[in-house]
Amino acid sequence: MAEGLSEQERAGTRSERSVTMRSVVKAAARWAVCAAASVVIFAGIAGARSTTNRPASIVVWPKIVVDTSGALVGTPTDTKIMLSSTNASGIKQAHCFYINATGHCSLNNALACRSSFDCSLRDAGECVPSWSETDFDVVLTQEQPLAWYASNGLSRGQFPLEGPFRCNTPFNNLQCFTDAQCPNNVGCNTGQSNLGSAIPPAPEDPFIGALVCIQFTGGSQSVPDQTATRNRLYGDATIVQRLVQGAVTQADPARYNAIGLEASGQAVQGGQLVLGDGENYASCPGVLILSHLFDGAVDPISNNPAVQYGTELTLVPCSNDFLTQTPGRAVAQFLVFNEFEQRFSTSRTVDCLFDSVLSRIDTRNPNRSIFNAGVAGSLAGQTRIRGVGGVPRLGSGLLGVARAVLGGVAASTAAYDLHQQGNGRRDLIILP
Amino acid sequence: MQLVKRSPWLMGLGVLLAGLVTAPGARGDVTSDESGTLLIYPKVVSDGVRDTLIQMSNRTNSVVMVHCFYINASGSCSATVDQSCEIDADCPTNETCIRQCNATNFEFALTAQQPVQWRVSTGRLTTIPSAPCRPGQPCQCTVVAGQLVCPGMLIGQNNASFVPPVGTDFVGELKCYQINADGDPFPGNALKGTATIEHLTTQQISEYNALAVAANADPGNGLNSDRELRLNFSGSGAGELNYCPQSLVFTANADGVVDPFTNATITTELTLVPCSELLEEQVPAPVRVRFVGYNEFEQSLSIEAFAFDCFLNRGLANLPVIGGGVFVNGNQDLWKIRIAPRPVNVCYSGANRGGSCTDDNDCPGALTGPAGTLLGCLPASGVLGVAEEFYNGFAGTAAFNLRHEGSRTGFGDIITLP
Repeated sequence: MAEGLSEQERAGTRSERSVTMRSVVKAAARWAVCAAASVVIFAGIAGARSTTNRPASIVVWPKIVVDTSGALVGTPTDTKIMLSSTNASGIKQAHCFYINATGHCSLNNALACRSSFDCSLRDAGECVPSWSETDFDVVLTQEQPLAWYASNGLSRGQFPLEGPFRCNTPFNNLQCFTDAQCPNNVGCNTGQSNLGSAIPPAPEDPFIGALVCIQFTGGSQSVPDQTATRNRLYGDATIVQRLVQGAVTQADPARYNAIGLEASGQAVQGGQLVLGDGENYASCPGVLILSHLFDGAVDPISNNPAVQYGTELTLVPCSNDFLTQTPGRAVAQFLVFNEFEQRFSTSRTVDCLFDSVLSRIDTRNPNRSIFNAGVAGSLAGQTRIRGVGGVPRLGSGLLGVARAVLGGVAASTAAYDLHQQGNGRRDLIILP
Repeated sequence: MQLVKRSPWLMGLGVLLAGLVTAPGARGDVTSDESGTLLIYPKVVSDGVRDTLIQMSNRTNSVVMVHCFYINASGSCSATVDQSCEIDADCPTNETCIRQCNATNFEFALTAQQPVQWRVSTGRLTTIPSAPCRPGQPCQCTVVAGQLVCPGMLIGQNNASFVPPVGTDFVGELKCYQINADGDPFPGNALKGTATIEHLTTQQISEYNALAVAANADPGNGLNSDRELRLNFSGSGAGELNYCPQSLVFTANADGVVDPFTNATITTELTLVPCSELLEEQVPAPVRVRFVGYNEFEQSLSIEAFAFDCFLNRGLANLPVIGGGVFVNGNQDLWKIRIAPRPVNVCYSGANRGGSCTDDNDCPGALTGPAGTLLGCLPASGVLGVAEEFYNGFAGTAAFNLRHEGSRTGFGDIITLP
């Protein structure tokens, strides 16, 4: 580079280079100082965000599927829901909302659908989306686990601890459910029980939707729980497919952890649950990150071209207005990375609930999708999902879950939680 | 030049703002839904019946380098060496269960936001270029010399084959951590992953998220290069990596219960790995835990002082002993099980390894870690884990991550690096 230069010029070049080098070193040092400062600062001020690892006060199951005949999803399917309390002493009440996002075909209202693709298969027009909620209470005793199938729910007589109980002494030979049933006002020793609970079956079959449970204090003045024993609930869901092959019935379960939003201890005002830094509840994530194999990727384990991967993605808005029956809404922006460090992007509206295989997000022809392995160019992918827009006041945060489907001799599925990064902006749940 | 002088501050400001936007939570937790510097796949199976597909990705816009080690946890009885075991009680009287717990290391690099995948039994070669998949054609890996060659960047480090094959006699875990150009641990918190366990005949799959441990990036008080990874960070102040949880909790169907929707019999397998790992010394970490279960009738059962080394992969029907499980169908349908390390000290190495102790004098011959930490009388290791449900055996499978409660305190846990 310095060829043909005089010694003075070379010295000047060296000197300039030295100055440049010093500048670079100084610049790097400044950068490092800022970076270190940012690490120290943001470690201290960042608020909590949603979690699939810790018990919380709001529990969200983004995907509940009931299709006991297989009319909608092709295989008889039901979802086993688990709700557990980690409270070491005393009952905890959960106030829950089934969110019914089952659409119906425009030309045949009896046909359920998730998208117009489901209707077009049956010449039934377009899929008309719908949204409705059904709410109910569940009372959990200390450390109690509870489970039910979404198709059935749990009604009186099916809860583990609902009596009959015994009157207090000296009438403890008498059975009772209430104090009024015991003589001499001795009272009925109900202890901790599930009394007050009723879990309805999913409002229709086929059903696709979500479930949200909020921890309440219980009792006659029940309010969202911000006491010292908040954050005591966690949930799980197992989407179970019943596969019939000849005379043999097999099961294909796909289990995921429900998503928790921890309460901060700040009392809820006016039935408005604010999600965000410094608010009533933890923030929804700023970005969801999905690890997946691209649709159509040949299973690297069997390496059989007939055995290919697909992934279903379910997204729900963090916000919902249950008072005016206004569902949350956001535009999900997808940034897709392949193994060659190449990037694609697309976006779709999430209106109440979004449930689709990846390769139908951006096109009706899955073979031409950016989520198709042939288009993406590699087997593995990473997709970053960010919610933007949204209904005014409510917010644009998103939560979700994925289900990998391995198609072959018989389809096999596995559900898993999405990763997350950063805190989202303010979201709002308004109670009826 | 003026721009050059200004830009570092602007850049730094950008980093600061980016930090504000993307900051991990200040809590010192181990998570399965965030990225971290240390990544743990507690259950990796390649036993000829099932195989595992590992996916890992970089969630940042910078290149990251990764150092990994497979830990083969197969065990056999001390005298009856043909008999496999997990705990001493699995062996004939007066015999102990000897765990191998030996580590196999490898390194690779991930470009910005890059995902990778590999099959555990075959590993993956990246020294052979493979063309991208094309629309309309099958997108698959090929097998070259017993290893997979897949479309993707050549990311092997130091001419290594990227990921070595483990063969078909492997049950254990995979731990990976982020490194810098010198090979030292680097607190980039960029790694996340999933594992898919697949049955080779039925193609039934189970998938779970790898556990991520975030590192303290404070240059003065955080992760250093002394070859000892300490899990002793609470989210603020000094410490290297986040503490392990105080306890794990999960809800399981009682082992042997019949599912009303499919009539399948459900069983559950629990996999636990220690947070502490003595890789430099090749010594299995001793674990002491307590299980407490609560059924839907508020009844409680517990297993006290359960001991194992290095790795546990066991059906609920075999806790605490084979065929003597307590979290089973006869004891109601549903169990919420909490697992907590015992609040006791044990000898990590030396002649009394695994024995209870009150101070280092009770651990004669204890070894010293790479940075001088005496691996003598230390708190029993923390644990992490994953569970897997089976519907009629391998006919239907589903893995899931466990919940975490609280954080350990004090010494925490230690991983010594080779």
